[in-house]
Amino acid sequence: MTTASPPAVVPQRKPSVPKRRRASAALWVMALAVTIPGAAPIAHLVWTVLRPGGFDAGGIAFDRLAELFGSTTLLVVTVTITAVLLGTTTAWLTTRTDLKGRGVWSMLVTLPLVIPSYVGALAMLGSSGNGGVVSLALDAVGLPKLGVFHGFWAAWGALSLWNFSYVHLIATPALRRMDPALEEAARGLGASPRRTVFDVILPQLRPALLSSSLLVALYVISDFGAVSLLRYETFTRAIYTQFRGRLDIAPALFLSGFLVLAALVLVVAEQRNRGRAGLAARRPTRPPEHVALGRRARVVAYGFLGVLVIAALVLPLVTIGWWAIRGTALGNPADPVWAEALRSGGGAGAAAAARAVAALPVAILTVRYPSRPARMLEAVSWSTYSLPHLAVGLGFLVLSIRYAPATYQTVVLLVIAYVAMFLPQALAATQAGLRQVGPSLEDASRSLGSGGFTTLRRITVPLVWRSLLAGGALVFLTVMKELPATLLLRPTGFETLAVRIWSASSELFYTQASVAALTLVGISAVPLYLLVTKDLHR
Amino acid sequence: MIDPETKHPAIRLRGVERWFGETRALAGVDLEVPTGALLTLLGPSGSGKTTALRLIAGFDRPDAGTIEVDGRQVVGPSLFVPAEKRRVGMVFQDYALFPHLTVGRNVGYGAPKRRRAARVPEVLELVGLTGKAERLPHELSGGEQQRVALARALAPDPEVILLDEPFSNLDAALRAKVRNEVAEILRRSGTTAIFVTHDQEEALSMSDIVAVMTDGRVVQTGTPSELYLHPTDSWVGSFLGDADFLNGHAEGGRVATPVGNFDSRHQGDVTVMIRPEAVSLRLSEDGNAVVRRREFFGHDQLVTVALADGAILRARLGPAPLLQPGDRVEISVIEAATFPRVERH
Repeated sequence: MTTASPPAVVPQRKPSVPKRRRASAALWVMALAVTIPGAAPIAHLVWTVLRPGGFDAGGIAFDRLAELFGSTTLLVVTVTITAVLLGTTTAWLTTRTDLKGRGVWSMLVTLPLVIPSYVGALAMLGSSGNGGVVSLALDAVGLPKLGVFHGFWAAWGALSLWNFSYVHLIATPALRRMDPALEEAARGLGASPRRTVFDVILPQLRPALLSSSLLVALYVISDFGAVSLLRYETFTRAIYTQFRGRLDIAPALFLSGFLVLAALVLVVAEQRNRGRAGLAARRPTRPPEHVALGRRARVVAYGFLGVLVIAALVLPLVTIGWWAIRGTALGNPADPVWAEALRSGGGAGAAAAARAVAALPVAILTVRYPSRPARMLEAVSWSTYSLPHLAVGLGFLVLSIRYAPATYQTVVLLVIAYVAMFLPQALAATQAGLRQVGPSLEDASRSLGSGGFTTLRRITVPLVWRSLLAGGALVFLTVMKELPATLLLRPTGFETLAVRIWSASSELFYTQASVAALTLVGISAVPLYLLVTKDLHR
Repeated sequence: MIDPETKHPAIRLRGVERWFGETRALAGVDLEVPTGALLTLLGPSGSGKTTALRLIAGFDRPDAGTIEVDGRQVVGPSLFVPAEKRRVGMVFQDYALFPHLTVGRNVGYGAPKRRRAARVPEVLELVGLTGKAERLPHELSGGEQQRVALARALAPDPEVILLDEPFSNLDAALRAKVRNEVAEILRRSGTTAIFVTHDQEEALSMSDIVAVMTDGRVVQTGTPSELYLHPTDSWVGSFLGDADFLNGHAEGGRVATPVGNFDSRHQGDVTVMIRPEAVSLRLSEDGNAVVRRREFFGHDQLVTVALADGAILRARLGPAPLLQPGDRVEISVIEAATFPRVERH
């Protein structure tokens, strides 16, 4: 039969372009319209560095660049290692041992995610030093006060404490999915428990560990709030200082471009690894065995979990709570934060709604008409999301001044930037929803006389509505906490909760900052709780 | 029922080709479906039957060829009428009922607006689901969902209904029953229908016409008995049911074989196809064949015998005669089909 022979000898005429299901031009236009605004600033930043003479025009000395690169790398590496160690340990303790209350512990070590790293930094400042909460407590029992947490160790601690939960979240399902039969097979073949860990368990965990390491590394390289407040000089802090201090924006732009290039390496690595991690997933035949811990080990385990929860969750909440209450009681000006809360919520809500709608064309394109260009579109939007928002925000700023001055310092630009940066969050949720709607439903609607748009309105949208909402909620949550891009792009006087926390704590107005921080944590806790519990039980 | 008065067929495909990259899914399909007929596209998986159905429905474009619905061209050179304008209904393998709409709203989805209120109860009654209009699809059994899908496809009064492996999701016990019901509903509504299936029994038992497909082509079209009794070649013959083959030479419309002489539609060297049901065996000391094997199924048995020249035939007999391997038997064959002999490897 000719079909089995190599293509070269098939005698029949072949059309030059093989036809697959093809997306309409309108769909492509819509998808491009929501993706390009996110890609443009990145392209601009990369061009700033890589164009001929870009280095000289940047006006940054090589020594300075090397110094920043060194300090940032040091922080990225140390925090990533620490977070992976902490998160893997908590995940293992809460899935594979016989500790009591594993579900509760798992929840408790995930909850630090409600604390943005700059709020964590604020809590560290507010607990140490002369008037700090911990210092006062130590003083009360006759111990010396703590010095103010500053510099590398403080930044390392803050970013580790408020990032390890991501590792926990990724490692937990990986550990749970592991087939106990493999471990038993290893033991049956004569491997010691230690060898089993290294030969069987760790290799299975590798994809999860790798992807969570890359995730944490990306967060650290992008972090602006915590390192600024704790006065550790990395790229982001240097960029902001350059931006604020001088009229010439070129050095800040050059540093941003360099940071984006460095982060792109991580982004590409992360995206490649994401594809492979899925292949390693195996369906276990039964739930994993729980290792019986000895008495000593159990005490150490409870101690470890307890200290971690106190440091990452209890202490910061107590600290900002104490500052908020004491400050207000002493009559320190707390200023109502409701206006900021409303603005934060409004901005986040607008972006969430716009985003959820904007995600639909890209989601339809990538799910229903998979093709290489569609995949590239998706990859581009993920890059915008993953790259340091301070740098991307600066890119938006420069482009808006140059090409659309009317939008400079307006809410419109801010919402466009939010939408561009958080596309993938809504996209992922919408894609998942679309994948569950069988394409035959849309075909059925077509054969019953409904055109493409009517089908979208009457069948597709009603069925993915929940996913659109979920995607919107996720964007809402993230936009609420967004600091660096908001700082750069906001109209003068447009204060969100995040901006208020940042500016008040840089000026040591801890009461003001704490009231805003409590409000922010409170508002963002609910959706996060829902998302996290869903993830953990997946 | 097939209406001989109509001048044009309900569906006509001419030279339809479809490529997926380097793979040729359809290699020039020609097909005519008379108005009112139940036609089945029967073929092994990968033969292109579902592709053909999707092209008729308008979910996909052919790379060459023309398609007509009720005498009106819907696909041709630089012509493509989209699915929603073809008046072609479809019943999907997974039914594709809209999960967020009630049965009534599913059925009413494609019905013309002003007739919707009257049409929905009408078709629900036709499929025997009166009173279930307010249910949601997931609250129905598999067989009921099937009938909702059928009712929904019938509601807009299409020229033709396409059914893609419609019974594959039902368990075996239910399948025969639902099959008869569906065929009955379609006949009563007078709608032309095209089924796609890979199940020979299903195709033969419920269709007016069967079109056999393989390798992207329709190789034979005819009534079920025509196809079963007179396949065009040995592949179609064996695909439709158990068959054994002997070689013979036909002259003057007759062919002589070691098991008797038969009518032949072809002259010269022919292959003679004999179905096990056409073979009967009688224990006989001086018979011309020896029993080799016996498989007992309860309601019948399949007995394999070897002729003197080594050729093998199978006989499907009632449960009664207890034959043992080694028994000598006399063979008689009621009927056989012939086709020109082709050397196959």
